[in-house]
Amino acid sequence: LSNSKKPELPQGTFDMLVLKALSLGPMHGYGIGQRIQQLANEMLQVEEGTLYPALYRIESRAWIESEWGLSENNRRARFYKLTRAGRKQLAVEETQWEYLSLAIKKVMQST
Amino acid sequence: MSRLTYLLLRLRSLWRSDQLHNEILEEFSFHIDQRTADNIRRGMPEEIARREAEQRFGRLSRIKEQGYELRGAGWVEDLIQDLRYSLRSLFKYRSFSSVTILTLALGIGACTAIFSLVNAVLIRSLPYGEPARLVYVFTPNSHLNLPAEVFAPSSADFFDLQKQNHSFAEMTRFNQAMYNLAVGNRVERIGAAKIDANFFSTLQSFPEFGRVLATSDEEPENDRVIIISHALWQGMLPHSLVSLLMTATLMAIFQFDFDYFHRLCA
Repeated sequence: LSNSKKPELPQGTFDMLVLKALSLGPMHGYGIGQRIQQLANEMLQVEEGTLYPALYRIESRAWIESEWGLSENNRRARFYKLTRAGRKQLAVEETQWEYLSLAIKKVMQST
Repeated sequence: MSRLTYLLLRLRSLWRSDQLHNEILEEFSFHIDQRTADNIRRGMPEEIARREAEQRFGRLSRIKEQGYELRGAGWVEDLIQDLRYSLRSLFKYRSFSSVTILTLALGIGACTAIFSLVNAVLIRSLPYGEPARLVYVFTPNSHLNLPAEVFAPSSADFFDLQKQNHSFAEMTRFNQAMYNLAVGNRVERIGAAKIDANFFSTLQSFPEFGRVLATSDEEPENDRVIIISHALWQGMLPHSLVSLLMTATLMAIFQFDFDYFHRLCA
């Protein structure tokens, strides 16, 4: 797959990736995007126009919370942290995703 | 952060919407700076590095608005704007508005009036003891094309019925009419009824003050004995009560919840 034409994530899965990235520890918006890309071995590209609306949307559901802190290079940055409800939600979404991807794989591998 | 603190934060953001906008912008500028630094580290010239970082944000204002709506009190502002808009258009299309308001007013008024009537006549029980056992006796006259309940038994019939009665614990008769109550230079039209000594015991109602009619009050000479309702007593000025007492013997005042025929009578 060429760099310019990477497939888009199915609706709703990006939020799960954000929760997963934050389960490794609090991080600011830029770091979350980088973290997801690294974890995906650069197979995914995180768009800013997707990332921030997703962060605000997840925050409005109280699955993450944010506060101002200092970044690694001592700049004021907004850090996001998984809440207890967010951790629960991540577990739910992980189970659902495993189930779904297994089901889709089974269908697509049928000959 | 609990749901409640979240709601409070959003309400607070109503008063500090500028601050909220600035916070979102600060978050974005941090992001752009980080991306620029990363780009430079990868060998891009500084100017191109920054432009690339900014371009990736696409239309900054759109993302910012989305963030503001989700995080802030955008919905309250929208609501206020909508309200102002609707008020303006109501004012602009005055004839339409007045017809609408009039229609609503008439509709609500009619409903309220009908309900008050239904409530008084059908739903609310009569304010007397054992209202379920009260019956109204009438003597229909088939020669006249009038509703049956217009005709009460004549006096003679009533006394016969009373004498031969085995079905009712008690019987009373009354005659409703409107009277003028002249007090000083003021005349009031009040509803009243001529009643007999059995009236209050039949209805099982008792006065808050004074005594009810006795059989002796039915004698021919005693035609100026009155009983007034609590409402009339409350509405009357002290000097009118005095002049009323000079022309009649006040026997009793009825307690607040006794309302003879649902306020048809004072």
